[in-house]
Amino acid sequence: MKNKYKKWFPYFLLTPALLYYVLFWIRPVLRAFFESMTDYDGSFSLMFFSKVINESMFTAALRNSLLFALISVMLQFTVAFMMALLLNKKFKGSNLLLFVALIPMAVPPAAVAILWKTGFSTFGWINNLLITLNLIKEPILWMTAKGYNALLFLILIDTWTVLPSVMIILLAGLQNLNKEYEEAGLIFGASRFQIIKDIIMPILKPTIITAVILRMIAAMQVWMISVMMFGYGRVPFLVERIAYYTDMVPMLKESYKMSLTYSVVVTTIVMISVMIYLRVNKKKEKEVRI
Amino acid sequence: MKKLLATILILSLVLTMAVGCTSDKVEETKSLKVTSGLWSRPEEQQFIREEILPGFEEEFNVKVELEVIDNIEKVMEAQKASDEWTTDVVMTHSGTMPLYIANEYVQPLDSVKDSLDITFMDAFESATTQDGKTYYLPISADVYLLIANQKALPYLPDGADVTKLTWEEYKDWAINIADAEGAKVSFPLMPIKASQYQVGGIGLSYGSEFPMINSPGMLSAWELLGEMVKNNAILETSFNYDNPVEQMKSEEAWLTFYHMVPVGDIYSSAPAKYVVAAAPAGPNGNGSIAGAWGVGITAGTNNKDVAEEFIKYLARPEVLYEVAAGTGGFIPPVNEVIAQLGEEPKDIIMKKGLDTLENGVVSGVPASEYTDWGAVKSVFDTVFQEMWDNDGELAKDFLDAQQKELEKLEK
Amino acid sequence: MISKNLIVRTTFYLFIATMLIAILIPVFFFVSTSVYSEYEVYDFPRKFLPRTSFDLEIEWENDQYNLSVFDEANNEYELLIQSNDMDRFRLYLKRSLSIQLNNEEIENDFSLSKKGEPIYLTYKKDLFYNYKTFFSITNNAGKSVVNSVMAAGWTIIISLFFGSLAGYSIARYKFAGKSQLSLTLLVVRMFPGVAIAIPMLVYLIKMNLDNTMIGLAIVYSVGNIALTAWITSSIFTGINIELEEASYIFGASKLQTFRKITLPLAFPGFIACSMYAFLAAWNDSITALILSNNNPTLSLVIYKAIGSSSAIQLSAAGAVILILPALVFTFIIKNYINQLWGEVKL
Repeated sequence: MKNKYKKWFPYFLLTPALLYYVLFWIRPVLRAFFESMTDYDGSFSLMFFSKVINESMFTAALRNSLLFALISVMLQFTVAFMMALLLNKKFKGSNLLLFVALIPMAVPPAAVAILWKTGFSTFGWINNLLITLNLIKEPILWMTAKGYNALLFLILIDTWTVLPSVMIILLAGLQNLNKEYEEAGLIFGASRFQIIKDIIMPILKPTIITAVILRMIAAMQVWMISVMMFGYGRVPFLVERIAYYTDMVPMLKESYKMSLTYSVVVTTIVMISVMIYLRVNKKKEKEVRI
Repeated sequence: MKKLLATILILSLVLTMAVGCTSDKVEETKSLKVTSGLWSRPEEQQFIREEILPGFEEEFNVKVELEVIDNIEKVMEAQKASDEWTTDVVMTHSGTMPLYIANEYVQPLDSVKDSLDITFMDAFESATTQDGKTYYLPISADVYLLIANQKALPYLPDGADVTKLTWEEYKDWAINIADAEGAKVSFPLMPIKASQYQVGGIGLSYGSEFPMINSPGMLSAWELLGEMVKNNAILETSFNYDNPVEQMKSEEAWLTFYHMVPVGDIYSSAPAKYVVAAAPAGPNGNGSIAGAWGVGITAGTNNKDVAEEFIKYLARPEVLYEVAAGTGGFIPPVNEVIAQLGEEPKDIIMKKGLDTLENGVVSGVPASEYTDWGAVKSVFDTVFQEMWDNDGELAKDFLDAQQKELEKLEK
Repeated sequence: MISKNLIVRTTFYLFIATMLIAILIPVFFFVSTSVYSEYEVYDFPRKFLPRTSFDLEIEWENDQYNLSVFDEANNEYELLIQSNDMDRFRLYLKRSLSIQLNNEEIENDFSLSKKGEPIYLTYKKDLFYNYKTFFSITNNAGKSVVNSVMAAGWTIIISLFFGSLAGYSIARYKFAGKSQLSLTLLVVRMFPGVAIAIPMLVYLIKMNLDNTMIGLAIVYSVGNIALTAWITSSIFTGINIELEEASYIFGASKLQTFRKITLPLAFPGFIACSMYAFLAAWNDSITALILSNNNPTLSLVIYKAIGSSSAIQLSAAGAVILILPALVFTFIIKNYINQLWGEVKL
């Protein structure tokens, strides 16, 4: 009897969460899948997937979303990791520094838009600061950035907001890192860098993977900051296209199905990316449980 | 362990609190909820709440709740889909009225309209009605006006009078300034916002209909703008804005032709710094697109009779006059009230707006004739982007092709 | 040896300095914007600190007063408004310069210029004018704070409960379909909410969860359960299983072990998750607008008051009001993330 119970126990723990999804989330999602795979009259058809892929802005949106995710996750992970290691040292004033580091996370999205829109406008506070400090003579026209410059611009703004949220996951993970491992490394003559690379990172792997995956999923769905800074269609992203069909041209015959088909496409792309990342990591994984 | 216990205690406290005060489904006798996209400025909200609503509340013994929000569409969509209607009266702009009517967010109010003794301007007929039924009463109209920083005046072409400009003079003026000071014209070009209204006004002045891409009037308009682009008169940062307020107030721009509400905002921030005028004129007159805010009754309201009384109250000439005078920048499109306002215009914005409405070449926003007005705007955005990328030049073939795109969207 | 140490320390301090500057400068300007008068928002170049007063020049000419303000950048007075209507001046001083005076005061002060010479006045600016304006157009701010706290509290409870159960099972057990199921959990974060927001909320309205804080929390928790599951799973994985095994050897039950050993060690992870949950609930206004319009949260109240206004200084003030409690929350829990609350390290 006990054995049988034991086998089902993990599923038992997972069930509440899955039930929750079924109750509160799954219905509109199933509907979205249905709508994306049918024609207007309800018959099976993949024409909307074809419409999505052949859209003039699809390639640009896909490229931007993937590039944004790639660059921003690498950048944010590296900096957040350094910050977490730093704050983990628990020196004098480190908890106050932690508080400051967390502030950007608490800023609501609308405020972020105001902050950076007023900052980067021609007579905004960034140019104001640079001119007052005599670093530039004439205001820089930040907002006329196009193409890859615009993408980088958005990545930087996103990083400012998102860095603390990546950092706290890594910091929480570092709390269980046994100090003895580090000390052992130092005794055996390892450099600081080697200790990080060969001791800390492997032990921290689950946390790192979690932080990267969560960030990857969010980064591929970034859209609002592009619309707030530049407007629709100027720097397209996948989810920005969804917002376009839902909010900007809702009365077109195809809008409803297009927005849902795009949603399905995005979910698929994100899922595949995450699976690729996990597979790559599994290959490199060695059991480092001491 | 102690800490854990403490945390659990705190959580249970919160829980009890929560259980104790869940869901106050407010039930009030005789109350009216008005959801509006109009009156977004705090002064305006305050004015309406303190000066206009009490009159109605006293006369009819009703409590009115006014909320002003930006994207009412989502709120309406949710109310319609769930059949839980909390809003009774809704105020939306003429551009989105077709959406509301098509999605059945509002119900016909012909009985209210027929009971009134006033005449509305025709410009908004197509936006407020469908299939012979009236869904909205337009209570506030707006036009496009010219505003210039005083610093720009020395650059006016010889003989030009800023209060009576032609579009040619406007163009030369902009280019004069550009040659001396750099680009100083704000022409907000944020996608799917108001680019088509600005160029549409110019087109009207040259005899075109609205919206058109390749009519002779519009060709003149594109040519005019193209020359300004070629001579670097228009600010590139215009692409990032949906109104000229920031550029004008910071003096990045000195000149713009835009919706009278932002113009009023700019003007009142420092009246001595600016000159406001009616739209420049072309051979056919001063052209401007006119929009309107209308008031309607939601389809599923539980307070239909109170809502009807509210609309009738708002439509009283003296109330319309009060609202117009007190909020500034809006003109009731009711001929009787226009006459009254024209006698003693409260301020220059109203004066110039009235002037344009009465004497100019005005077109409403015919959103109901197109499947999706956002898509129409997109076509104009495409033309602007092409014009900018080609240094002001636009090929006739290109314009013809875009006209076809536009016509595809007609119902 | 010394020079290596010096390099390390310098890099250390440089890193900290960059962090502080990069975070605090934008925050400073944002808070400054919230106390700007309308005039200051567009003034350029402006001083580092917000103004506390304005230097005005009043001149009587052609039966009107000319009011000019001193522009430091150009070292001259700039004409702003001409009128002889005291009411007009009162409103202008209030709305553009955040100077609050009544008609008599203005009349008395200005009329001195009728003698013929321009007069110079310095008026104090009301630094909190934007905040006062906000409170004057809202009347249920207090209740909305309580609502926000409740919504956030429920979100934390729901996310942590459902999520940590799932997280523990993934971390500690091997079972068929484990990797597939743990990926499935994440799907809720992969499906963009934009297109399905309304249908999802309509279901909730039909379940009679509209205008309840728990209804809001249910929506906010959908994504947060997945997040909590993954974060707690990685944290639980990091807790040495031998510690738990040692505890069993000493006769403790599974539950006791969980309570006394596993949970305290996992605490920082739980705190990180509750931070996400809190902010998701605290900062949302769109879901609240659709689901609980008649029982608003603070975020919704602020959105309705000044969200659609084009006055940036007002929006900034509203945002500051919204951020402050969130900062208080962050300040309280920061110690728990960094395990500065006790010696549970082994």
